[in-house]
Amino acid sequence: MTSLISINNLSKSYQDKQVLKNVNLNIAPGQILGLVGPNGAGKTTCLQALLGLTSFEGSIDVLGYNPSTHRDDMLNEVAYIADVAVLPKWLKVHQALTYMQGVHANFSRDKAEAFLAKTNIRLKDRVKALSKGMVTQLHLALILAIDAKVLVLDEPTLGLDILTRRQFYNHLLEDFYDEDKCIVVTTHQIEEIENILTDVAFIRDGDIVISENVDNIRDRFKLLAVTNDKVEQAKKLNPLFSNSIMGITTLLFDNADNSELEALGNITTPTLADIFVGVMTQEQGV
Amino acid sequence: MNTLQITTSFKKEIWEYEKTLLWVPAIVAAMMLAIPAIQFMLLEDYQYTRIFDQLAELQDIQSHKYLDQGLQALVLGLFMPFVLIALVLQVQYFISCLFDERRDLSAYFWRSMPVSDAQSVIVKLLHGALVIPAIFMLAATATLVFILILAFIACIVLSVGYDIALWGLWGSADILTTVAAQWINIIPYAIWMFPVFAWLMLASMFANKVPFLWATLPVVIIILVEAFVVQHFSLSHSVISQTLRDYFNFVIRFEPGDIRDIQSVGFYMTKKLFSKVEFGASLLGCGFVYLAYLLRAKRN
Repeated sequence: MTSLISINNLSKSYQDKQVLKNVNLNIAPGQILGLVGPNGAGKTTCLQALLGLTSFEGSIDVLGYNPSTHRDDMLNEVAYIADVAVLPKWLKVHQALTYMQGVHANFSRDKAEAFLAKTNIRLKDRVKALSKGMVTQLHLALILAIDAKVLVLDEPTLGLDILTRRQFYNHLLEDFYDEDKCIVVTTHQIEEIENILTDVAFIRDGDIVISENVDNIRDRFKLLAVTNDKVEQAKKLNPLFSNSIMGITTLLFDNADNSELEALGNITTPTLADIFVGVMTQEQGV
Repeated sequence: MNTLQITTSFKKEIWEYEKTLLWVPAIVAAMMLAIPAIQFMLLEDYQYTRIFDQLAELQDIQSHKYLDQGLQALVLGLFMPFVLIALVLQVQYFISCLFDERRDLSAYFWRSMPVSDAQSVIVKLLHGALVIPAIFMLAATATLVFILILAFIACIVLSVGYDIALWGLWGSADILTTVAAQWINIIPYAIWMFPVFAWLMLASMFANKVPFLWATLPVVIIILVEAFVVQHFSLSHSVISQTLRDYFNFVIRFEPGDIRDIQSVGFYMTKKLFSKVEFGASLLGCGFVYLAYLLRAKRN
């Protein structure tokens, strides 16, 4: 299947510090990729390079466009929500709609108004009069009303309460996603979106540590719970990570033999958050 | 060229400063009407009598040439406060236009739209250089129309109640041409001030804090250093300071000969303004705008 986004050997340095190191990613239609990493891992820089908002080495192809040279054309088919509240405070809701209608060829005002009708946001409201959650809803309404092939979300729910976060992702699936589109999302709250992700890429210090389909990753990693008497035996199988609570030790294994693990304790499928913690801890050598 | 995208970008600039662009010209217009009205109401009886006598004399004047020039100068005087206050707002706009969007992080939003950085910078430049003064010109023109309506009513009252007919003045007063000249003056004025506007935009884009300082401090430092060098080496004159003085020195002196020759005071201003435009300064302005664009496009 042809990739909507193709990133090859993407590197980026700020003075002496290399923040991205030969990143390679391919995202096909229908994929929802979670780009997950700790603070300062290079997630935002990676997305900014993807959107042509920063210079980079390597090559990026988004829907056939080079983001460095054809950013304006590309943004007709790519929608983006940054990791901070970026709607200007002075803007009124109806002005935001008029602006989008005027500058964006693929924006549907009716769609945005229909979305806003489901919220408490009024057309005459100014952004500064809206709560943080409402500003996010407004931004989402503007972005979801764009008939874009690619949606890029950089920590879109940062600082929002759990209800608004859930609503946000529900709207994303209901009002935007289909098999012809792809979504790239970075977040710290991986546990909240792991059910919607089709693919995940873990990034640390500018390196992509793992990039896989979520189903494959769940097959690959196993979580073993053992009692204290079998901990030493289990540790001989080289777990990525172990954690002891109330007499039970849980250990994360990568590509381990199931029959060996079953003999030691109870095997479960780890969450992406468990795998993330395990992989990051191992990478750090802790 | 996407016309809808460009007009929407201009609308966005107007929305951002809509309160200032609505209320400031309205307040100036109100003051331009209120101050003479209050002065008129505070006149003593003998002053009213003198005015009536002067108006009665006006209807007997054969040549209206100097009177027409006086009226044109009055129109110019009416427009001048609007132009000066517009200049203050223009400076404020250029200093903040590229800085504010980074400070409130809205640059992320604007730059996530399919609008090129070049278009954004040019729209901001044209908005500050032409749209802001045009809005003030509109307010000045509206004030003038209001004054003319009052003058027309006054003519009717004088004609019917006091037998003073000043209708001849209306025929000779070339108000339309004077107003048209004021509007046309926006263009040479914008070209003349273009290097300043471009420099302020560059400072606005460059500064991470206090863009006003970045706009003024380098100029002050250059002038001070030059003054020190001139004094230390006992040079005859300072080149940069003198160039700046010459460029911004705009004094209109009406010589007695000029007064006779000038047909339109407004177009005389147009000529004067065009004479201030210099190719080198405009080129420098283009350089500043290009740097502002580069910074906006390439800055992380």
